[in-house]
Amino acid sequence: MEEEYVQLIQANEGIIHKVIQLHVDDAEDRKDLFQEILLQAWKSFSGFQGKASFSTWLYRVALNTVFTFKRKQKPKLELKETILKEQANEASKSEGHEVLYQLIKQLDPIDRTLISLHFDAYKNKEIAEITGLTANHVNVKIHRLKNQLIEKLKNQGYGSK
Amino acid sequence: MDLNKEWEKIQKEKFSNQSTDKTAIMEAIKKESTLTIYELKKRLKYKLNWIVFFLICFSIAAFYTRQQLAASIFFLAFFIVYLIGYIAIYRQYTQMETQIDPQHSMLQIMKNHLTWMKKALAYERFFGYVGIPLLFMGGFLLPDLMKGANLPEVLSDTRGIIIMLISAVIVTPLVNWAGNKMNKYAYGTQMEALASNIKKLESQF
Repeated sequence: MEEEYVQLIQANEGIIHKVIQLHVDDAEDRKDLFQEILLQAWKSFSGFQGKASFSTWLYRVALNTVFTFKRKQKPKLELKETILKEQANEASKSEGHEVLYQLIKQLDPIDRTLISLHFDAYKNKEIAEITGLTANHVNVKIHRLKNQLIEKLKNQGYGSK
Repeated sequence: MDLNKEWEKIQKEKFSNQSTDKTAIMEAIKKESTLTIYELKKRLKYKLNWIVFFLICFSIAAFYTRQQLAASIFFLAFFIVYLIGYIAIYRQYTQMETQIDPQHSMLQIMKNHLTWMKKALAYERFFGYVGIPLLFMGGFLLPDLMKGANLPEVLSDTRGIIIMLISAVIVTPLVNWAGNKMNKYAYGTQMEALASNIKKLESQF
C-alpha cells in the first residue's frame, strides 16, 4: 500500500503545492503544511476506494487540512496587503497571468478556494460538495468573483473575455 | 484575456515544477500530526491521566480516614466530582477526530474543529476552576487527618482555613487567568479564522 500511495502522491503532488501556494505565504508554514497534508492523506488512504479520482480526493484532503492548520506566523493583514499590492504593481509591469495570480491571492481564503476550483474545471455541484455550499450559492459566488477579477484586470489595462 | 488560459500558465509556472522523493514522503507519513486538534487531544489525555492519579489519591484518603465518617465522606465527595470530570472529559476526548476525513466538506470539518477546540479549552478551564481548589482543600485537610485529628478540629483551625481560602481565591483565578491568556495567544487567531471562514461559507452573500 505504501508503494501505491507514494506513486499516486508523486503523480499528483502539484495539487498539494497549488493549495499550499495559494493559501500560505510563510516558507516554514508551507513546509510543515506539506508534511501534514501527506500525513493526513496517508491516514485516510485506506478509506480511498477509487469512487472519485485520486486527484479530487487529494484536493479535498489538502483543502480540509489547510483550513484547519495553525500557522506559526500571525497573519499581519495590513503588511500582507501592502506586500501583495506591491507585488501586483510589479506584476502589472509584466505578464497578465502574474497579475491574475496576485489578484487571486488577494481574495479571502474562501473566495480563493472557489475560484481556483472553478478554474480547475470542477463543476459547481462538485465545488458545492467540497466546500459545503449549495450549488446555487457556488454559481452566484463564482459569477461575482469572475466579474470582480475581470474588472480589476481591466483597471490594470488587461482586457478579458 | 482568457482567464482559463492565464490559469493554465499560472499552473505551469507556479505549481507544477516541484517533485518530492520517496524518502521524504515516507518520513512525512511517520511523523506526528501538527494539527491543533491533535495537540489539544494530547493535552486532554494528560489531564485524564492526572485525574486518574487524583482519583486514586482521594480513594486512598477516603479509606485511610474511614474511622471518621465525615472526613471519609469529604474525600468521597472529591472523588465523585473528579469522576464526573473524568467521564465528561473522556467523552470529549473520544469525539475529537485527529484525522481529516475527505468525505466531509470544508464547512463541516471547520465546524467540527472549532467546536472541539472550544470544548477542549472549556474543559481545561473547568479543571482549573473546580479541580484545583479541591486539590488545595484535600492538601490542607489530609496531613492533619492522617495525624489523628478529626474533621471538626481541622476545620476549626482558622489560620489554616485562611491560608486555604487565599490559595483558592487568589492562586486559582491567577493560574486560570494566565492559562486563558496563554491559550488565547496560542489558539485565538486560528479560532477567529475558523469562525470567520465558517461565517463566510454560511452567509448567503
